Amino acid sequence: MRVLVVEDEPDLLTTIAQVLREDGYAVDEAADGQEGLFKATSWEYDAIVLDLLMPKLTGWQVLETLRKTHRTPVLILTARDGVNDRVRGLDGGADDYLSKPFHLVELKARLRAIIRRSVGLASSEILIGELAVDTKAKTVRRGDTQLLLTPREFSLLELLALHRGQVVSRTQIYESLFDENEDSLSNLVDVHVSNLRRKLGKDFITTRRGQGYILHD
Amino acid sequence: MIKSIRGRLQWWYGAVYALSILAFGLLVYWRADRDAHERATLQAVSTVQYLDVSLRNVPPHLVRHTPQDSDFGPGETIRENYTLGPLPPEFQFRPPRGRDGGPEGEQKPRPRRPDFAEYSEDGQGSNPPTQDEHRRPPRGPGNELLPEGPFGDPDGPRGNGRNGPPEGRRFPPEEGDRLKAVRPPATKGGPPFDGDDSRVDRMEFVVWRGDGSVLTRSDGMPRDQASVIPNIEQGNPAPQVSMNRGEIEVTKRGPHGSVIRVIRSFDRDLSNLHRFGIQISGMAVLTLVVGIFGGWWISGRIVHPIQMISETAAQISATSLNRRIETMALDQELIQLGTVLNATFGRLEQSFARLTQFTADASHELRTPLAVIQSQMELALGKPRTPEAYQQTLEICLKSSDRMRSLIDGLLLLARTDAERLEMRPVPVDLRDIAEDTISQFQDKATAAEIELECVVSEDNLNIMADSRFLAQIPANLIDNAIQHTPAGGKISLEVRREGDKAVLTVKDTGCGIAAEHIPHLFERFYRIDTGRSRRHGGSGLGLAICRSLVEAHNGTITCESKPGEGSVLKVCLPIATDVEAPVIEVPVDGESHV
Repeated sequence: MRVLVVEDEPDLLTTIAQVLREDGYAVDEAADGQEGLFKATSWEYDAIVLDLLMPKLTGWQVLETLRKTHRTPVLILTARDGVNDRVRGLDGGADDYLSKPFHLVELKARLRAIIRRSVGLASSEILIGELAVDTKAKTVRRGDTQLLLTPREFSLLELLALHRGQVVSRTQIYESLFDENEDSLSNLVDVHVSNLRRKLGKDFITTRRGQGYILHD
Repeated sequence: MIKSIRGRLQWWYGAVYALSILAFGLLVYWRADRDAHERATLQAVSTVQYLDVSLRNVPPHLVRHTPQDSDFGPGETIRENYTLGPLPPEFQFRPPRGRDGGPEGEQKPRPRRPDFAEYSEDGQGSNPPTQDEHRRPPRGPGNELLPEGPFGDPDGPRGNGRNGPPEGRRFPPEEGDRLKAVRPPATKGGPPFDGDDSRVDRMEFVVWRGDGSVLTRSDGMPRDQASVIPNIEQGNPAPQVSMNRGEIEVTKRGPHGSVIRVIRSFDRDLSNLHRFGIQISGMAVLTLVVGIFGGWWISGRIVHPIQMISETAAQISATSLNRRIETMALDQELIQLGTVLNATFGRLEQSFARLTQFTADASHELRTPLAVIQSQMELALGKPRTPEAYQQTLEICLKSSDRMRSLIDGLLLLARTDAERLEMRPVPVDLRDIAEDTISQFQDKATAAEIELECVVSEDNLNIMADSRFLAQIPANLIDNAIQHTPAGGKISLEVRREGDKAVLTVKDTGCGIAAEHIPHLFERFYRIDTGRSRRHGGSGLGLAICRSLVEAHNGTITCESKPGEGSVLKVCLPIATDVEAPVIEVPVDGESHV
């Protein structure tokens, strides 16, 4: 999962980015509205955390421009907690609203929720045959046995599971797994896919040559 | 008591008009007795006078003596032969046509105003001409009647003694003459008498001869009246008027020893007048009702816009302050009221908006560092970290709490200046000392930011009455602000000098400058030139607002001049204390003086 955090308070930006990275997200950071809008329209994100009062462009302006082309889920995170601000934010195209100060667990839960809703899932647990992928606890179970996956492997599995039945291209996987700061090698995706196959079963992930990978039911 | 304008108007409209009409009605009712009495008396006296004059035309022997049957032809009576002529118009009144005479009157081809003189026993208007042949001329001298005209020739009987009829006229007169005499001239104008006499009063008369017999009387004259000749004082020509039971009785001694009495009742006159008064009073009640409803309607029209204003005003609350009274729909007089109220609502809305904005800003400024602290703590506690990570967390938290503290200090200071509870202890202070202290305080910070800091101090004494704890914050905040907005390599100069009776402190920087449209708002709390003020500049957004509050607390002014790209000049003017020669107290500059 790749997430963009747009926040003009440097300390807060660092903190949010760090906690999301620790949670297995690929996180991009933007320190003002202009940079945020540029990044949001340049790459595909699974979700965007957006502050409202920022230099250069306000969150509302970013949202307005972004919504013309993108459906990326947006979580507004701001100290402006007036009802009017919330209504304006939500009506402007935001998917959720969280006011500062906030709990990081709540931020993470809301992020998961908007990502889940954006792909049309109702629960945080995705069932693929015997396999249960818990996006909240970041665990995978087969029956009663817990499977041990690295965060990257889990993110890859989560991505494929969320797009079950659809071909997920290598570019998509790259963009979802690695943030802008990571100089990823081209075969890193193959390594993670083969690791997943080893742990979950050989036929679990099907390769579509020239297209990408697909996870069947 | 009626408190509403509408109620008062309503009652005034109704009550005032109704009361005036009622008063008129009561006046008519009250005066009816007098009016009827006066009228009846006047008529009765006039009739007596008329009869008196008319009797002079009757042959004296007829008046003096009881006429014998031989004086008249068969079937004739005195009244049939010797008419008294018609009443002149000014004496016209309706004779009682009697309950027995009414129907016959209606059978007449044309209603006419009858005359009492032609009244006959059988109800017929005039004598039949067939009786003329039985008439004989009366005997004796001076017995000529003047059949023509109401009064005939008044001088005739008494004048030259030539009392005969004019030449060419026979006596007794011809039929045509008689008719002329008995028929009154046609009434000019007005409707003819319709024969309905139920609403008019009766007037009766009787004339006694000198010997007590009745010469003539009207039909309605009571018999007992006709049989009693009143005892009239001899030689008193004035009519004697007496009144009994709704009747006026006028008696007068007539010519040749005769006595004339006219009885005029005024019961119906009185009751007519009473009825008229009651009708007017009834109109008053009607007017009251009409007035109340009219007043309700008119006052409703007057009060409606006032109600509209109050309804609109009532709907204006903290959440709907943008509503206004529609002055276009108001009357001229109320437009001013509406405009004033609208202006008040406008100011109220503005101040509410400012308050809301201030609260939102203050809350935003406090929440942001709080969010940093909370998320840092949560992150640090999420899993075991290295000591360096913990240290970094604590540093960030300390920085954030410092920011919150300075913000709260600023807000408290502003709140105190707003409430004028600053607890200033003004002492004479030399502004030059303050300026130099501030420069030394910020020298390190400026050097770190690679900014040249300059202090220009004039030779004049710049003693002002001030509380140095608060006064020192003014240049401190201005220089702090200037350092934040001046790029590296820039220059900031602090200058103190005297201009007239003002001590002037200017802070000039070579920063980015401020666009003209922002300058009027520069000293507002949390005012942002950029809506999302860059965190890089730090600051609470209260610095200049605090400066202004403190300058104003010292009775001074603060202004800003700026050109974008060239830098800004902030100028503080403070009044110089003239009666102080030199600073008496050494200015303490401690840590508290800077927010």
